[in-house]
Amino acid sequence: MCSAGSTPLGMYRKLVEFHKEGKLSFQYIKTFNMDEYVGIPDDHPESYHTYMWQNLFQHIDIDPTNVHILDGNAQNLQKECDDFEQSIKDAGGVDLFVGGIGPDGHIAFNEPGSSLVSRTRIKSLAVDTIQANARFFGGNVGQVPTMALTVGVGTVMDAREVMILITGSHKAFALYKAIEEGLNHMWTVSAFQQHPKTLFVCDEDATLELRVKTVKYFKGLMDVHNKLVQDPYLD
Amino acid sequence: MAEDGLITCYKGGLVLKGGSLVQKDIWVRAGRVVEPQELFFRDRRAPSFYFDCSNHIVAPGFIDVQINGGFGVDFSKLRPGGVAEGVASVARGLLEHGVTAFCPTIITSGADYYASILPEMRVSEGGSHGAAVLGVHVEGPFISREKKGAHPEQFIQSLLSPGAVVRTYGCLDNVRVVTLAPELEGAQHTIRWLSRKKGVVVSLGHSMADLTTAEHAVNSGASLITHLFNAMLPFHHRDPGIVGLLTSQSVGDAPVYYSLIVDGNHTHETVQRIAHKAHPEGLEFGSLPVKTCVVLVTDAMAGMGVRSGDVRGGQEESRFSLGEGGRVEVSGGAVRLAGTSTLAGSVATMDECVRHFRRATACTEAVALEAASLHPARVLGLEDSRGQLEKGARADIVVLDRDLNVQGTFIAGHPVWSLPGSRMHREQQRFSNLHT
Repeated sequence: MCSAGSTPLGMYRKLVEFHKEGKLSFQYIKTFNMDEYVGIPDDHPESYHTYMWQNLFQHIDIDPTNVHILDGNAQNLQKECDDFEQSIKDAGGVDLFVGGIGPDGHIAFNEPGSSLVSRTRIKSLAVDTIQANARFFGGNVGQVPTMALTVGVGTVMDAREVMILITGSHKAFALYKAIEEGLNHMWTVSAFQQHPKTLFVCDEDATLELRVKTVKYFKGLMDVHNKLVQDPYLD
Repeated sequence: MAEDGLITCYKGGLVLKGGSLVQKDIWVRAGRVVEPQELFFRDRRAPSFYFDCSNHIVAPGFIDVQINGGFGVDFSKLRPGGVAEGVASVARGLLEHGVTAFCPTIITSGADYYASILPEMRVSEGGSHGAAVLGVHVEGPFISREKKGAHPEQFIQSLLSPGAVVRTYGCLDNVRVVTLAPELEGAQHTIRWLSRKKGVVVSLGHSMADLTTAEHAVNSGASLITHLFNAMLPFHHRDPGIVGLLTSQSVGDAPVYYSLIVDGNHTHETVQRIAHKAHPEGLEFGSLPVKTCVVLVTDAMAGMGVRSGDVRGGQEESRFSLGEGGRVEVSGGAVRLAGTSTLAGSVATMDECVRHFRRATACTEAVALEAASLHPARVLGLEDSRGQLEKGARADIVVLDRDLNVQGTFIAGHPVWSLPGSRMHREQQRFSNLHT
């Protein structure tokens, strides 16, 4: 399961690079995108369809029938959401979730206050999110979609592995809330504290609000982590 | 022919789009360019064949709106019954030069010639058999005697009227472009009738017109200038003549295109630069939009594409006359009426003209390519289906190397020519092995 947004861009670039080098094929990969706006055409420059097409799908060898993105223009939106949940089940569940978070700790469009056991559904966007997105719609708040379809926190919790990408000092407080405070539906990303296999990937700036001992602890684990992810063919 | 459901992709090339070359893939289905994102998400389809176009330029096929013949064929000297064959052999020969559509051009001829030939010179689709025929360009006989060039004087007519046009050409069904001199009596009325009532493109040429007359003609509906600088009054600073249309502010919003024969003989390179710099891409000029735009034409005659080199020999005389205009000589790439300095068409190919234009004007590859594709398509009002590789357009494609040498030609997404030994040749063969 993957996401749009600025955080995973670098990751997609790398995946495309690996594909072009012949190291990686997507022939047998199935993807589920975690959200999409309601009411903008799927070929709109700001739609997540367009994002995924431009940044990933057009560059790789994925089978289009293996790609799943919520249709924000479906006649029956709730049915679209239910069908999406079903198609995840039919695919055998999600192996890996990769996504970023908002500065308010939202995961997908699970805005602060969302249920931590929610499933795929229609969601009204928070004012903050709408205002933040206005820059993508010519600075015009009136053009920004006010609703989206999004997987729920519960949907993501079902993934066998969860990887959260957090970069930049503006996300530092959210990272602190995510891992140093308790479970909190006002910071929906904190739900993954209860997921057995969650990995937070962050840069230095994102750690600014963390305790020194937290940072030191995780930095101390880096040697082990690096061995886990190193190129197996390196030697 | 590729089956309807087949999707092919021209991958990794630099695609001509909106005046520049952009890294982009072109997807083609059922002979048309399709929007990849739409096909991917809505139809859940991906290409089943990829033409590797990396390090190549992918451009819309060239369109030649003025070509008198080539490969030994002279469109002004065909026999009734032999028209289709003659046109077809030129259509086939043009593929090698990246031309996917053209307007066979007939120079000043007698009414009986038009009557017998025009009905047989039909508009036709392109394919592996050759480039598409978009309709005939009749150059003359309503032209100035003083600027007749290589046209036979005995057939020139000086009185223009819709009636005279019909009496001369007979049926206008297959006529797409008429070159005429706007200073002739009755010209303005006839231009209006041709352009507005009959949907024919009126081009100004072989003319002694002053600027005022030329402006009047444009306002009457003329939209093209035939081989700018040739067969018209030379540019004079107090009356610039037809050339003055390039920067005229009295021609309303109608775009004015001018064709240039960029074979190295018809217009000096400095003059090409002057014309080009006046309006590289139809830029705004002052407060008025002046939208003159260059259209590359070959004005090629029968000797184009004939490789023997010697077309001066006695027995070649009839093959290389120009219509009824008498013998011509080809030397140093220039075609002249025998014993004179009068140019009589060219032996240049369209790809040569594109390369020459790029070199002479130091423009980008994209600008040179558009002058041979998008601009002629616009002149003919065909820009939705030809001249650009936008969604819904015909997949008439020329693949070139970075020096603008043609590597492969495609019509309706189907390979129709490739340079022997090139990568595009191998790609086309790989495609043919799988899909025929």
